[in-house]
Amino acid sequence: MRHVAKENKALDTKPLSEPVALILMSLATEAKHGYALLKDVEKLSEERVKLSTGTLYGAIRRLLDDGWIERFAQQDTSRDKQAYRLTARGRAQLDTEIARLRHLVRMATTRLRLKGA
Amino acid sequence: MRISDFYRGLLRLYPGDFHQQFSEEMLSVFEQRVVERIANRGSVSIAFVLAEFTGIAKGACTMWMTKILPIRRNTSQPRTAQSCPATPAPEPLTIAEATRQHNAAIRNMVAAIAGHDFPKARQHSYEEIRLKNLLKELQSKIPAGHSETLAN
Repeated sequence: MRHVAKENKALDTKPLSEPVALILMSLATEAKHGYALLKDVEKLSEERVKLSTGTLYGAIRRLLDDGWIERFAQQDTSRDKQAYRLTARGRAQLDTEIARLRHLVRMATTRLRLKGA
Repeated sequence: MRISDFYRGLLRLYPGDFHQQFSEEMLSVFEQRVVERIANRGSVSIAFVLAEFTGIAKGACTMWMTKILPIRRNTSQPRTAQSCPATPAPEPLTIAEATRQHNAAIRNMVAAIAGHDFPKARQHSYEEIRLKNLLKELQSKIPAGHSETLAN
């Protein structure tokens, strides 16, 4: 785990696209099916980001390939209702992205304050 | 529902493996969205249908590009250290191996750009620079007159 976190630190220069960040955020709390994921992404972005089904599954495929999310086996899972959840690597990537955004906000706030003073 | 039949037909635009893996889920999600819209608004808007169909067409193009280009995303990843952070590839020991990995990094970068996956392209670019420097380092250690040369 420590090893993974350390290795992921090397990726902190790579910003995530907004849809990908929102998908990871949505899965941070619990495993979700495709439809629930779409609804949650809309909710998280305050209806600003509305993914098409094709875009969502393109992103899901890439995230599965990268090992950031994984299929989550459920007892009542049918083939057309597959749940996904965040992996440790995906969580580390999300943490890294949040740290990057925090830094960005902090720097922007500082600069704006300086300009206002 | 005819719109679902049309959607199901469009899903055939995807490569076989993607179609097999996701088509049923995608159709299910699409049908849920249609039902939700009919329940909330009484009908399905043309804008929604167009956005969904365009999403399929764009997604299918991207998936085919990734599949057709020489190095596929998922098969290329274990070759590079940065693209798979938890399982870094071993450092190349010979110029031949370093050259092979360097060429693979370039191909991966081109494939990522073609697939509009720019964050991944940037990763491969970093990897390409790292391997280029490594190649220079390896070449500088070769005594004069040695047969191994830098491929690029």
